[in-house]
Amino acid sequence: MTGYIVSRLIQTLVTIVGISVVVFFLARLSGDATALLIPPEATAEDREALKESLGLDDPLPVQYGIFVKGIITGDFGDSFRFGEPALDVFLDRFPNTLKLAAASAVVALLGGVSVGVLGAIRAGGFVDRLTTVIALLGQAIPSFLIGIMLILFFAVELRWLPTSGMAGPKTFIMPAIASAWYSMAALTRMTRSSMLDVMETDYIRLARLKGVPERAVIWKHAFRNALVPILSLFSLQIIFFVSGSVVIEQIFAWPGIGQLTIQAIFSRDYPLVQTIVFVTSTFLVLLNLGVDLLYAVIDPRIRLA
Amino acid sequence: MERDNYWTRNMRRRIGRRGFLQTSGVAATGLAAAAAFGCGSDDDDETTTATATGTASATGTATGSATGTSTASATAAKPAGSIKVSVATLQEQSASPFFQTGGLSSPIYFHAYEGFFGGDLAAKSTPRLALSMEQPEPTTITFKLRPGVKFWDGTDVTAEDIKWSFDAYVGNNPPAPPSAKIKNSVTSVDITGTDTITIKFKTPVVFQMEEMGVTGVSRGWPVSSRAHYEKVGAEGFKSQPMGTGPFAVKENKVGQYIDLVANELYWNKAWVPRVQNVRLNIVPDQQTRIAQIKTGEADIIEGIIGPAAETLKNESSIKIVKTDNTAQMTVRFQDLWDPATTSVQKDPRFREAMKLAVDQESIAKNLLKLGAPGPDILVFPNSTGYDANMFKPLKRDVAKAKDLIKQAGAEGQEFRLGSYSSSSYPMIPEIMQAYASFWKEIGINTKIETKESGAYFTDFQAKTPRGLGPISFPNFSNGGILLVTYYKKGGAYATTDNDDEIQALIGKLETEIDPKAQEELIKQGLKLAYDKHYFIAAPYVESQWAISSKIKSWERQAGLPYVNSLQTVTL
Amino acid sequence: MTTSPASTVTAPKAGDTPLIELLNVTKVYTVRAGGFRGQGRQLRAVDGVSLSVPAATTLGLVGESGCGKTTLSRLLLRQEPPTTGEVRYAGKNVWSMGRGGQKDFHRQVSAVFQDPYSSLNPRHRVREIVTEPLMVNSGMSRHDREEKLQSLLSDVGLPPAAAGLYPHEFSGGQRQRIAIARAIALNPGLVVLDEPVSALDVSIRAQILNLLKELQERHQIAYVFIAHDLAAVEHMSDQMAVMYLGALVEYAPVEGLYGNPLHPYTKALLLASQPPQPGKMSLEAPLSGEVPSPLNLPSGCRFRTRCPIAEARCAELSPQLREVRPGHYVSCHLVN
Repeated sequence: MTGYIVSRLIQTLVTIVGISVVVFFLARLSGDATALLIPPEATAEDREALKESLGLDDPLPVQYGIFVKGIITGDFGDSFRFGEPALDVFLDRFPNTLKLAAASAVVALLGGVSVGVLGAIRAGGFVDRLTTVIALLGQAIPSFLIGIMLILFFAVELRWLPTSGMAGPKTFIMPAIASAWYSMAALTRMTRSSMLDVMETDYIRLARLKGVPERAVIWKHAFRNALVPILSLFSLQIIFFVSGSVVIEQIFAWPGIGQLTIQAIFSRDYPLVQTIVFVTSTFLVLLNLGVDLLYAVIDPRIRLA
Repeated sequence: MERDNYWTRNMRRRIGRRGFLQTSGVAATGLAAAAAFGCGSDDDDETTTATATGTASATGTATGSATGTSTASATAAKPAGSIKVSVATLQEQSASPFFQTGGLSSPIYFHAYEGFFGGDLAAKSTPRLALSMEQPEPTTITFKLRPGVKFWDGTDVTAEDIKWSFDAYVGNNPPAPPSAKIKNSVTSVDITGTDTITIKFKTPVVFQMEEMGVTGVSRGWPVSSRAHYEKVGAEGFKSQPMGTGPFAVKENKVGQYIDLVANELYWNKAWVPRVQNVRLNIVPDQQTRIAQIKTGEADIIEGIIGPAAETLKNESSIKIVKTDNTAQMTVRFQDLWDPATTSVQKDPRFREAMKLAVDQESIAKNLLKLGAPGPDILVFPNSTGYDANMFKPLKRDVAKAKDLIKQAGAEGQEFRLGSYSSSSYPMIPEIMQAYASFWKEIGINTKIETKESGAYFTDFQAKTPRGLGPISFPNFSNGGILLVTYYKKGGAYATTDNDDEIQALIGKLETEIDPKAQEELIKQGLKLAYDKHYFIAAPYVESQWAISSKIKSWERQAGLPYVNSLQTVTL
Repeated sequence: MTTSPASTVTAPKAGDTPLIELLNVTKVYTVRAGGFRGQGRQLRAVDGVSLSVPAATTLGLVGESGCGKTTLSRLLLRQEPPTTGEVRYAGKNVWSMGRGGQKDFHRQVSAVFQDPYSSLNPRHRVREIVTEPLMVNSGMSRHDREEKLQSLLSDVGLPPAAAGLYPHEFSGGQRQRIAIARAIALNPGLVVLDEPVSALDVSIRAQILNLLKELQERHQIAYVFIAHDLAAVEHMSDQMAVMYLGALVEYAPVEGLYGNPLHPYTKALLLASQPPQPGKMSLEAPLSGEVPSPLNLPSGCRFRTRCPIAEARCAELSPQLREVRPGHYVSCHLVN
């Protein structure tokens, strides 16, 4: 167990270093930052001066070194676009994304698992076919359409919920459903097939033979064993939630990092792009580590591996 | 990256995207020119533009003579009620007067802050904090200050506040992009009397009037209170700013909304808001904004484009209002950038043929759902030098076009055709598709190459692409600046670099002081470009807003695509 | 091969009330053939089988894979209802029992399956696995359950510490011991052993078989021992049944069947398993020809397509299971 944790920690560290390299060079792939910061009539000296002031005239390895030093000291530089420390700009929005991500994750997991289990225990029946169709639709209909349909129905027609914005629990409902939609469909399918696999096994047969109540068979025996693939899929889905859905944030006027990222990339705001991508990725890597350690708790086989 | 470098870093970032005004040296008043040219960005974002429901404003004339407070309307009812406005974006949404970035932050600036002069509803320059101005010599302007102007908190605006605001504006960290021009062109700002401020410029300043807020909607520098700043401190000032505009900033929630509240002390009684509270909500998606006006979560929404407006037509409680001519798009002959080019684009017959091949009427009607095509030149009806008879659009004539192509020997040639998605001008990719098929009919082939708008503009400014390329602009009314920026050799988006005739004319314009003579030169310059077929222009587009029945009336400034003049809203 | 112990050899439907019996049981599945029109086709997995198992005896059930053994075990375990015929436990139809009867059935019948990996829930400790039947079916206190657990573990030869471990911490043979401990936890009358040793290493098989034998003697358990390997069954069984394509072809006391096999299929199976030559352990190809598809049974005798002595009448008439010697039943036209 200790060996496992240590090796996962080392892997994580290596991944984070890798991220820093990729993030740094990727940001610079978006184009010359100065091109958008300086008017076309500017002289060559002006451009050089600008580059110098931005620290863009240093050789790339030096720039990278400054970036890494910044990571360690928590100083990611100032955003070209907002003029404030990039980390502050990012941290202003990130909690909003996390809150929505958490709500979406709950919707996706509860919705996907319950519908998937229902489909599995009624395999072949009407409910199962219905859930299969819903799951297919979920994966076929783009989330922006779901978002707009939700708004038209719940906000415009029924007037139950506010159309958009982030203020109070009510405003979480529609964006959470819309952003969970795709994942929920994927989780439904995964839960269903994973449950069906497990339900075929001998220990389920034996449990039923011994008269274990069906509810206990489903949740205590089958579901716990079906959980690992469901959780691995879910941990992948979380990545999408946490990195902020541009589309969902746009539709629901959600002040998260999705929109911020796109704007930062388009305006070639290297420090902000680097901050967003690095901090978010690192967060996800750590989250992933957490999930892996959680697996070890859930699945005794991994614990010893 | 130290903070010290902010200045350089930010100084021109936004301007670069748009037109960057040539600060050519002409000493003249430039007052005749009424420009609606914000230094702001517009192409980054969704634009909708205001039509002028503009009645002539309550403020004074645009010349240096004072109009003073006499224009104040007598009856000013107490502001009451509240409205919610959904805007597509507020860009770098800052409440600070000293970090107002232009374009898409206009809804904040135009309601909360002012400079010496500002635009009225007709987009004509009118005195604001100044009462009048004098230009004793080409590099000096003296502003006489309007007496009795008060900040939101009731304290008087003093000459010291104005000078302090200049320093604060150009020294702000980070700097507002438009401040770079002012910083670079101004030598000194001095208090030369209890109610006069004298500004000295490095060069003669005809076009720098723009920067001083003397023309059109431009701003000069925003004025704030030193005493207040010292009281609340630098950090506090960002969230509790102080200004003189018709609305005061109440709360700014970045990325979400900004709350404004009526300033009953506003010096121009005609512009004391009728509405007490305004919330500007940022709602990036058009569909969501439309849903909001249906549910009553918004009273005004911006950025209603084409088909979306149709869906609102059946709603009895919702009205669509428009501002005309807020943007134009022209296709340029980019081979002309190369002085040594042997391209057939040098042949005016070819250029004319390309114009004649395009069915502008069909594009206006079928694609843009508009009335009629505009002139085949980059100019707006409200620009200085515009003449409806001089710049008539050409009628489509395929036979003549084919004949001209033959004469020019251009049959079967192929050109690259750039394309991008603009927020100010809808459907450029679709229009380029249409152009390509029109040109195919006359035997000219094109290969469409689409780019993300930032990259597209960067290339355009670098003048590297060859072939053909569209580019769109928001409305502006200063024909002189239009000519210098978009026609002068080396100008940001100029494609007439190698036309000596036009260049000579621009040279003359830059040294002409007399406004009448200036206007004549502008007219001649535009006519030259029109006759030589330098542009293939798509129709002007309009900006649309939807307003709920709660709003009885709302006047907007001519040609301005951003939410503005909410002080005129009556419920 | 030891001789079978001298428990009473009972003929079908004779003697005391058998613990479990199948009366002319047929199980038909409807198979959807490909395509949308897919008229369902009938697969007769078990075809008119009658069997009975008296208490504390072992019935060996042998046949190639696909012969219906697994379906038969599901029928015996009341996991599937027969299409026609009856499954009786202690004289009662298991499909028309009341709640109490069902509970009793759960207590009285259990099973050990072939794969010791898939038959133990990997997320449960041995304690939970073995005592779950007790928790569900008995009102035992925690303390009593723990005591019972320890005695079960010692019964199957596992150390007390095994209780706290997970299945993956054991070898295949040990896992099968756990499975056996679970199966006997409620002192059942019948345990269906569905190939309990075929997944195990040869060296361990005898240990497990001896354990089963020992437990049977101690607890008076009846077994239905399903296997494809005749050798293992001989060692364990009192009665033998040989299945081919869903039907019984021969049914006899163990000595009779091994000493004097009558059906050509049984003979072929014995031939294939008796000489302990390497490579001959399995029944992979003991006979020539393919097993016909159960969807498309041959006319007449279902074994005739592979039978070395088949005659013309075998294609016309389906042979019935008949008693040719006392207690020895066979279904072949050519046996007298």
